[in-house]
Amino acid sequence: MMSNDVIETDALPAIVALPSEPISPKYRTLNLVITGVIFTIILGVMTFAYVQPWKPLPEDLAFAFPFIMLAIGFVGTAIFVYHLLADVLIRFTLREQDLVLHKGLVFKQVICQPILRIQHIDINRGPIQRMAGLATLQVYSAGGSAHTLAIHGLPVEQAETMRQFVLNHKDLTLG
Amino acid sequence: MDVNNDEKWQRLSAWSILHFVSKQLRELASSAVYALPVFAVGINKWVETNHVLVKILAGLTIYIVLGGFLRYWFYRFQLHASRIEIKTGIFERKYTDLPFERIQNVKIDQPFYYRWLKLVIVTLDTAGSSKEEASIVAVTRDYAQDLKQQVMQRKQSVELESASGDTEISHAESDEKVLNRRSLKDLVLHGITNNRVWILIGAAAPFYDDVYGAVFGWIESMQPEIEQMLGAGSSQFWYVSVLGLFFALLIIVAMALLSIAGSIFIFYGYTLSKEGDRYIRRSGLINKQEVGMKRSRVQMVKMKQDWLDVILKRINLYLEQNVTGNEFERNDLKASNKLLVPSVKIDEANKITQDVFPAHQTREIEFNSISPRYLIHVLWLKLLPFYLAAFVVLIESNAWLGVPLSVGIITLAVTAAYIRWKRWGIAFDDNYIYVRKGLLGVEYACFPYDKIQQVRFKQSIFMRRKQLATPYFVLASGKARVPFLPQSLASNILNKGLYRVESEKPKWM
Repeated sequence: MMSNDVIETDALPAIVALPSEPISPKYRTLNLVITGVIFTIILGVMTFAYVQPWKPLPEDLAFAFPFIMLAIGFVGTAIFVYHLLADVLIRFTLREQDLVLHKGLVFKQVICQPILRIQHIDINRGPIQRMAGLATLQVYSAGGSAHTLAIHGLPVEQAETMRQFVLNHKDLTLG
Repeated sequence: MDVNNDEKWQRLSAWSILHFVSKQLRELASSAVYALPVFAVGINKWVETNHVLVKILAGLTIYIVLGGFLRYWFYRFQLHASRIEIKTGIFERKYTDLPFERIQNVKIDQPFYYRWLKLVIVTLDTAGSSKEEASIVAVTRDYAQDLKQQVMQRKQSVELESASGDTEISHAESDEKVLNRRSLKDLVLHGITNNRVWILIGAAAPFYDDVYGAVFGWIESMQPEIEQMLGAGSSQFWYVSVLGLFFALLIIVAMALLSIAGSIFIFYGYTLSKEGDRYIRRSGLINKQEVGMKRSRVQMVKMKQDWLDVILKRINLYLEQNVTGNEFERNDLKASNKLLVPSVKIDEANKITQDVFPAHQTREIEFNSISPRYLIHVLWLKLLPFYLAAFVVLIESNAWLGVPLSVGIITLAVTAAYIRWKRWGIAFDDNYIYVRKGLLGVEYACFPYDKIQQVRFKQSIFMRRKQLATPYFVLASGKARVPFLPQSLASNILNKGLYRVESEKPKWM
């Protein structure tokens, strides 16, 4: 039996207002640590080059040194603050028919990928993510590589479960 | 040759040497561009000493002809009922095994040197990220059609096996009908309204340096005469500007003529026909080109008009299918994912679109305009460089010239922003979403909910305060977006599209 009731579009669940779950809090910690370490190293090496007694810097460079330090320090702080505020806003929702990602600090984005349009799904883990037990779930559709849906900072087991859910989905082969 | 019963390794027709020679020549020409400066410097000495140039030319000719022959000699193929095997390469042997069901497109080309021989080149294109293609060179048109038929039937039977049987088998040869033809007048119009100059300019690329040299040489040699004409040293403003205007006009006319020639060159004898569930475009003055596209693969129809098109009421109609692999070809004539019907009238565009997307209302439907906030956003942020430019002009020049100039710049910028804001719009009905945009020209896009791959909802914190949002619709042929819509409307359309895709589970290919 086919049903064909009138659907009130206002009554459809809006993807913007869905209940969602957060990614692992470790993801933010990891980003903050990485940002901190990288910028500390850069600033440290530069300071060393400035104070070391063997080979003095050219005069121009020595003059510009505090400004360069300030600029790099500013960029580092900006990235740090961004991760501090933005990473907690990354949330996702797995529904029966689609996968939804919420993110963005200044520009809020909600991306919704219907499962039957997924062409390919994989899990990506870099060395640092492996150490932290995290994974990135990447979902590809025919919309092209620019529109790959990537959920960073998922606990590995959760990423595996979600991947398996998608792979077992009965609509996946419909194209 | 017969398509059906050659399960053995065979060579192409000997006429294919012609094709390989021309290919060899093209490769040489494209690499020779880099050697041109060296050549130009040394050429005078070389010509005088011992006819080295003649020897070089003779050597090149032998290289090209021999290369062409060897390519032919080492090219072997074997046709089976459901796939083709090809071995190529002189030093580096390459083996291709291409099952027909992986072939996305069968192209039939006729380069000029095969015109009188009545031969064609069949190219079998695959879809997918690793692009492979196979060409069968120098065959008769009948053979090409048979091969195409065989590939298509094989594909369909495979698709039928895998699908639940809702694909129709088309009886290709009998039911081909022409949907649209373009007359010479249409092509001239197309040449004027669309800059097709590059078609000819592109072909002349190796000679750029020479042309520049000649033009500048000529200008320099003209200088004394111009000075004489105008009175030595008295390069009066009046004369110079008239002369400049005259030359500008001359260049525009020349460009327009070139563009018309380019348009005729590529679209001569244009037909758009329908064969079963496929659209086929055929055109070309010297090289005949044939491009096909399956109806179910069309993701979006675009009606594009430049400002001249708007005045002349003509439309460039694009049928866009999924992009294969990673290549997003910008050039709309070469792109295999776009099928262009050049400079059609509005009713013709509507009719063809009707065939692809039945009951569409692209040009009749009422569009929802976007928020005036967009205008404010553009005027504040996007046009900031213009204000700076106007400001610089104002202080750099004296007030008499600076004031009107900077006022002019700002007026232009504001007008442009206003027009763009007015043009943006979105509309939807039970089956399709429509997007309108443009500045001087206007572009209408129409796509079914069924083709949606993914949706996105974007909103800055400023837009959130004003309850505005930008919806994105990602299709296999690209994305469509409309900025600064009321949040409820944006969310509504996205949800409607999602619901449609997820509940009815339509195919997109």
